[in-house]
Amino acid sequence: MRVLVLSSTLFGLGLGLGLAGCANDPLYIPAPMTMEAGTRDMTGMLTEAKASLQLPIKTETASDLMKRTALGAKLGVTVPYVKVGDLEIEVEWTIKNPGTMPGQAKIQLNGANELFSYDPTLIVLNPDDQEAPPTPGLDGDIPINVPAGGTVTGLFTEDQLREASIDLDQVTRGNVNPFRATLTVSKNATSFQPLTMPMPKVMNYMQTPVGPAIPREAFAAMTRIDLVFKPNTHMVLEFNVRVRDLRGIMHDLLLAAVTQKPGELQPFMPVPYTVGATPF
Amino acid sequence: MIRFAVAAAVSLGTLAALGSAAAARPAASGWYTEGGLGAVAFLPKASKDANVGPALDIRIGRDLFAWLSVGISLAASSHEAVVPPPPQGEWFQLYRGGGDARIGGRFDRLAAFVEGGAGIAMISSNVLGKVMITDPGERFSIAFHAGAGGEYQLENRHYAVGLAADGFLLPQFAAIRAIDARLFLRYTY
Repeated sequence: MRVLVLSSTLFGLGLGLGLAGCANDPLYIPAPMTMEAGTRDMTGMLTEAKASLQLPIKTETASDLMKRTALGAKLGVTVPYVKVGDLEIEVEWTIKNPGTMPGQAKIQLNGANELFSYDPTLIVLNPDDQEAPPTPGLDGDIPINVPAGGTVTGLFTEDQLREASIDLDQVTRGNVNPFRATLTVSKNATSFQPLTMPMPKVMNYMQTPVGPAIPREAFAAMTRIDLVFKPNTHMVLEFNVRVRDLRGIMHDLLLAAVTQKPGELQPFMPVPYTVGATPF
Repeated sequence: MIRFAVAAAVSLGTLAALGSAAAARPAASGWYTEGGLGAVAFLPKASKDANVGPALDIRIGRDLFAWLSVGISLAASSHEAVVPPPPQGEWFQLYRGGGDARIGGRFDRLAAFVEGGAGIAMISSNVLGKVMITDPGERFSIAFHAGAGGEYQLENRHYAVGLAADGFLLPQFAAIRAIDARLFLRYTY
């Protein structure tokens, strides 16, 4: 009997360790295409490349929907299906410079949650000021030196993506100024206060708080990754999205589910957030 | 094939001869547990996509006869994926579990065995999907393993230490093959 108990304990320990190790395993989603840019177009301008990767998330279960609805009623705000903390996302990238001259490149990180998408070109905060700085992306836009014929790798970390998710929600649902949202650290924020829509064409307009504060339990997480690749010479960018699925909502087939089991994927239709511009 | 059969027959004959000396062995017999530490190395072609990694093995078994035992084993190993970047510097874990049979013999304090079995393997992530080792959504594979080892019986009749190496094959994961080599401590109740 003692033998069996000891054996079972050892075996259970091994099995437990194995299963514990599996609970937080990352998933890797390669970008469907490489991004190539940095050549001159017909007008002589340097080309930029844009790519989007929608995360393959399973359809919401009836039980999840009920819980979400109940939480929304309790908090008095819209609670999204995919919340901050459900997924930990990292974007890993590699830039290749096939040319014979060293160059510089920038990668801008944007994205969308299930409610809104964020594209800084659709947010014009100073329409009458030609010298005003452009609206920032959610992260990135840092010059990266790439040697001739060389390769540089890097990543947007989980912390950066969490910050970007919260900034995106603050800007789009909360109408927080993008400069303020991106230049302040919000990854540990417990709530944010929505404001009235900005009106850049109205002189001395002050945004005022509107509605209840949105608590962290209702922060929307990024469900689509958008990258803008801006090299100053011909370069190629490849990226890969690494997801730790803490809630178990990613589809097992990942991007293959788009073609093999599209009915099992949650359709998201985020609205482009615009200020002083018309969505395309 | 004939050469393999002859070699296997000779090996088994040798082991059986060793087994006849079992009466003199200073070792306990019956239920046993084994814990091992070692390394798993993939064989080509997978060897260029995953580095050698540390491994942990646990085994529980029962000596049915002096020359035959059966058991179940669990093994876990961790490897750095070296697929074309991105991703870069990412690790994955390979978990294996199954049942096997072990045929062996003992000569005084030394023993040798051959073993083989089958089970199931699970990979912790799809990082090797980039090099087509795993397909989308694929996490499990049947596992076949076979190998050999030797033991040294310690003064205490319950304890032995040993060295073993198993080769394993995972057909669903693009038929990758690997070697699991380990040092182990055996406790026989």
